[in-house]
Amino acid sequence: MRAVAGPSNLSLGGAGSRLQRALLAATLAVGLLALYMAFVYAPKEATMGDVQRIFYFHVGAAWTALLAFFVVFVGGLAYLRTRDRRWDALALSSAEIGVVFTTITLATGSIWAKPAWGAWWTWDPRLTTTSVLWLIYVSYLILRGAIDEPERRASFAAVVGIVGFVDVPIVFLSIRLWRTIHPVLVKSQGFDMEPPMVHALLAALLACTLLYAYLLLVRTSLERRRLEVEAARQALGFHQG
Amino acid sequence: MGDLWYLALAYAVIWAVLLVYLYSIARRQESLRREMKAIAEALEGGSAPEEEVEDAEPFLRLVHGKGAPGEEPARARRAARGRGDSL
Repeated sequence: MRAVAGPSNLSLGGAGSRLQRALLAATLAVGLLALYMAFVYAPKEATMGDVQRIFYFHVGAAWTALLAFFVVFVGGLAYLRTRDRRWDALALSSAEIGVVFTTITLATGSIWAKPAWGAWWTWDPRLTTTSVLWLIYVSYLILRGAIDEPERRASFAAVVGIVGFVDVPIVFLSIRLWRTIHPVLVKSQGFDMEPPMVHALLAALLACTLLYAYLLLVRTSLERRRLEVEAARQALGFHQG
Repeated sequence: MGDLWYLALAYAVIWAVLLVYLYSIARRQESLRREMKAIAEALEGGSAPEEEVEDAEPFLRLVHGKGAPGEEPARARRAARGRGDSL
């Protein structure tokens, strides 16, 4: 990655657009297949019934959120090392998408908890650590809005993104480290469910990952264009409108 | 409330959150495009980068129905350039 110098070196041009279209098509195709598998192909769960079908996209969203925060971590490290604002743009875009997917995870988990556990919310370790994760990255976005100077904003955000990532392994390990009512999905023998359910889960994971890649491309492209406008405004002596 | 009600609610929430986020991106893109247009207009003989059209991502084209916003001015600029005019 090179430093932001002017408008021309930031654009992905036609190749970027083609990649976006290809990703959108793949996301829609795999998304429809994953919905079919979650609602038709996967069998009804014996104890919970149809409400268990929330599980496929609940786990898909959770996986995508953790992936997004890993990208924030990598983007933060790369920014502090290179001071290239495009790494900061990548980290910001990924943090925003991560918050969206964490919101989906918490909301669908809460809706599923009501029929499964009899309560919308419980301070279980997995739920608590995930809420903390959501708060960390919402704070990351608020912090960015509170600092005007771009270099300072990017540096502070990179540090918060790196430190905040500490919660990601805690979220993952919380159901193994502490006593919990949250189900443990992957055991030493493999997935603890029927093969068609595993297939439906893998399809949902792929669909969510593709959606993440598409959103990241779109959001990063928007952020890069915003940097172009900011650079053009500064060069021309315009004030922010 | 039956199981199906919770199932429907969960998937409705997923769609709602994603649509709100996509709408927020579309709005920010629109606002940025207006800013780029204002800069281009403030510069005599200047023009906004054309990749805003080629690069306009497909979802936004669907949202706006008739192609991404900013497409018409860019087309006009290209047509004018073809005619030898200066915008």
